[in-house]
Amino acid sequence: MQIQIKGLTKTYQTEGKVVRALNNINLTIDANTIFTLLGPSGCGKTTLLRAIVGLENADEGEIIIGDEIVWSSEKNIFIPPEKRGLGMVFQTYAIWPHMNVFDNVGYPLQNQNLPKEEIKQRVAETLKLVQLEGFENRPATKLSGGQQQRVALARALVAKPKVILFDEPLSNLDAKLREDTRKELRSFLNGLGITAIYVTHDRIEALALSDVIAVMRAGKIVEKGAPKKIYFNPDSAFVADFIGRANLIEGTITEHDGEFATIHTAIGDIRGLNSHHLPIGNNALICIRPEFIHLAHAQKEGDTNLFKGVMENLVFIGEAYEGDIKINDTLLTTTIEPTEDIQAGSEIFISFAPQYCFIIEA
Amino acid sequence: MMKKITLTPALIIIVGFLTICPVFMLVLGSFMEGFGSFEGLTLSKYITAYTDPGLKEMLLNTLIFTLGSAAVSTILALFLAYMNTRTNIPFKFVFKIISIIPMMIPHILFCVSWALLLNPSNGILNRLLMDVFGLESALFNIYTLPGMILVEGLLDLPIAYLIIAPAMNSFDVSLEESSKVCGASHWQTLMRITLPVLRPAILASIILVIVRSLASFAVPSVLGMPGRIYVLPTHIYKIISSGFAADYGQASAIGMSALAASIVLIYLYRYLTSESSRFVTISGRGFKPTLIDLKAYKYPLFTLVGILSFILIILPVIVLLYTSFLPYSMVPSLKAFSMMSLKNWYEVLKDPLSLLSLKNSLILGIGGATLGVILSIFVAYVIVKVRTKAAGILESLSFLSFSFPGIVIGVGFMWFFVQTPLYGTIWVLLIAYIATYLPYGIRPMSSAFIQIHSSLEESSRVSGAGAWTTMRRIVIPLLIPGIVSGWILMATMFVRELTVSVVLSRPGSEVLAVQILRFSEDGLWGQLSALGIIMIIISSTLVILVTMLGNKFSRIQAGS
Repeated sequence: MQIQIKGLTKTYQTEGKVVRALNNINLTIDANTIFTLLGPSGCGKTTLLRAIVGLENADEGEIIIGDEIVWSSEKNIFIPPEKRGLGMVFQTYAIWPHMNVFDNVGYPLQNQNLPKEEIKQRVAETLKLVQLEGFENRPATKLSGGQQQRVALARALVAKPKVILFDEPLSNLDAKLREDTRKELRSFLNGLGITAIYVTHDRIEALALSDVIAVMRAGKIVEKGAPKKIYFNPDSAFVADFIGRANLIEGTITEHDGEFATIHTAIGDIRGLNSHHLPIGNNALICIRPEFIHLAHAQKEGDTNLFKGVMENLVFIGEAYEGDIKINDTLLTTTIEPTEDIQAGSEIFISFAPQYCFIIEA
Repeated sequence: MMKKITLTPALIIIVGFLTICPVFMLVLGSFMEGFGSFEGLTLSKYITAYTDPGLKEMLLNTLIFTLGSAAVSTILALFLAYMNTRTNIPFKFVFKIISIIPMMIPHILFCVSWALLLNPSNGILNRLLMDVFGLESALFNIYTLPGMILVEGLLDLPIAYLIIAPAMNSFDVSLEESSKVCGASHWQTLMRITLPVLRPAILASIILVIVRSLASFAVPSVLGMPGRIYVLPTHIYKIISSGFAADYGQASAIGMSALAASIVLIYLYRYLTSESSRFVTISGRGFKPTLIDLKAYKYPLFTLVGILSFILIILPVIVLLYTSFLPYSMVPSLKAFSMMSLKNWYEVLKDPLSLLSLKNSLILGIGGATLGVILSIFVAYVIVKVRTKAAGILESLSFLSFSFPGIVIGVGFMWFFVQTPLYGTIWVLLIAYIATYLPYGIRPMSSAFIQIHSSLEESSRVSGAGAWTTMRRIVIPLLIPGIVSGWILMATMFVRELTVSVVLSRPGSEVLAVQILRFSEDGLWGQLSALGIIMIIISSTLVILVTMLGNKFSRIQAGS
């Protein structure tokens, strides 16, 4: 089911300051996509999610789920959360401690006054779906974190909602479980063919789970696109930095041919993608991700994007080396394959392919 | 280490004496024929006590009174806590006041002011209503079970509120939000999620109020006895205060039931509160819950809260102040105002007995609270930080007196002190007060100790400070808030103490509350009110003074 958000604005006051939690948000979320709202804490992503569910109301704007206007400031429409037919997984899971698994999962169906037999059957089906078969009579307080999360998911799905919403559902799991759950959740949601809205501040979660990511900052959506587009060629330095690690170097564009351009920086001339077609003479930033910097063994000086530097702050973290390469007075953070033979303080050559460096407005 | 080993047994002996001694003496006394000597075991006191034809009615009264009070205060507390934490009701500071102020107004004065307002013969409010509506007889009679339940329920409201409000506050709101997303309405969510999740807190509140009202003496004596409605404490009081020779044996025999019931209930309460920690849900993020917009109900509901706080706080003080200037109780009128004078105040301030009781209560309040807090610091330290098996015994011991109905424990101490030269002195009261109210000192102190994580002490030790320096520079300064609240609680309780004193106070060791009870029994409302106002001023001054002192200390701690 498609979701449309039009001109959504919400401000509130804390300690005398006016905070714009949502600043004129216009957004269309296509049906059957996994859509992620990504951003640092306080960017308004949770407020937006809660406005869609109806737990919080904005000051201005309109929210349309499918063909139904669920909230509109102008038309004075407010459909309460219980009438919106959505499913939601809360950050804390919000498993009711005084009920067992069956009652927790069956609750949405009980509110629809379905016959007991049907509730029983559908709860069993849904529990099977989340691999908690036979857990019906387990008290909610006797569940592990991962199990609680599955119960919360089952509860959100049991009523066959039009849209399912997730509010940072993995942030309470430990790192290992989080990785596993991430993968599982992705294939699970793909299999369901449901519209899902997912809120997170974790870039890896966003990249791994989403069909579309919307990056938010200070109440605004700064960029929206597929994970790969956002990772390889974001529109702004903020997004480049937020979605992955980034070396951002300032410079002036000196050459511009088709897709590519050359930018003159403190470490020399760098070639990179110029998708925004910034003209010659403009000040700009070039972004080089650490994982695309490679040791250059066979190149000779003068090659494109080849630089000589000194390895500093080198640490070995198992899956890679991490360190900074000092070129003139500029430090470039880099990740190097763990199999390389490398020492701190040694002089090395590095290079990076122009199609993975991108030029963005300063 | 040496210190810990000797400290724990010493404390067990002191606390053991304070809590076990009165119980032991009560049991022993209940089998004694006479008072003062311990010769000849007999069951006759039990037979007399439990074959009393009025017993059944008295027990039924007690049951209705305690359950009714528990219902009134718990329902009110739920309402107030919900309004405060979940809705956009205006003027929220009023709720904080409601939870603190009743500490300043002694229960007996609260009862007296209600008697002055709603007694059937010349209650001010009754008279007013009769005049306005031209009624033949009084509309309300406070000297009834419903009247007693109402007043006791209001008096115990702060306790119920202090249990329910934090539970409501730490409630993970997403539990309710997820219910709404699942298609449940406000009302369904309240009934199926909010209240069930709060069940342990609600039960804890009910049980604690039952225990408190079972021990309550002010309401049953001021409002129950004039209408011949006796409950356990007043029944015991009747046995020891009427007739030629007070029958302490029979009082002890009856007291055993009150004590047993209280102990069972208190341990049930303790079980429930530990159970409730199982229900604690940790919110991952400090997301402010969306407050329920009361819309059109906002001000009507606030008016309700306003009336409640007016009844709780302002009305008793006004009534007492008004009465203290009048020769006898009358409806406010031009005539009444023209008859106002300071006569009652002069008489009270000239009355040697009132002055003595004032002096005694002040000494007991300040001295007793100081001693009680010092003992509490050590006990709480052992309970929280030492945590050996012996410390566990100390904890159970110190918790025991939480359940003691004052009058019963007074009778127990009576058996003990009559054997000693201390009998009839103020020391008897001091020891009995500390014994009865020790848990109220220990509780704030333990929570203060819990907050001092051992790493704070350890880092001081690592930095080269000895045990004593660590205690002085680190532990005590961090304890100040606990010490302050413990001291206030104990001092205000001691200044107004009635139930223990009513048994143990003898000529020469009169205290304020007992003196006020005498005035009330004699119908000297004017003098009573004057003395009562003095009592309120003392309690309030103590609270304000020590709070200011505590603030100053915490500012010094903060380093500004």
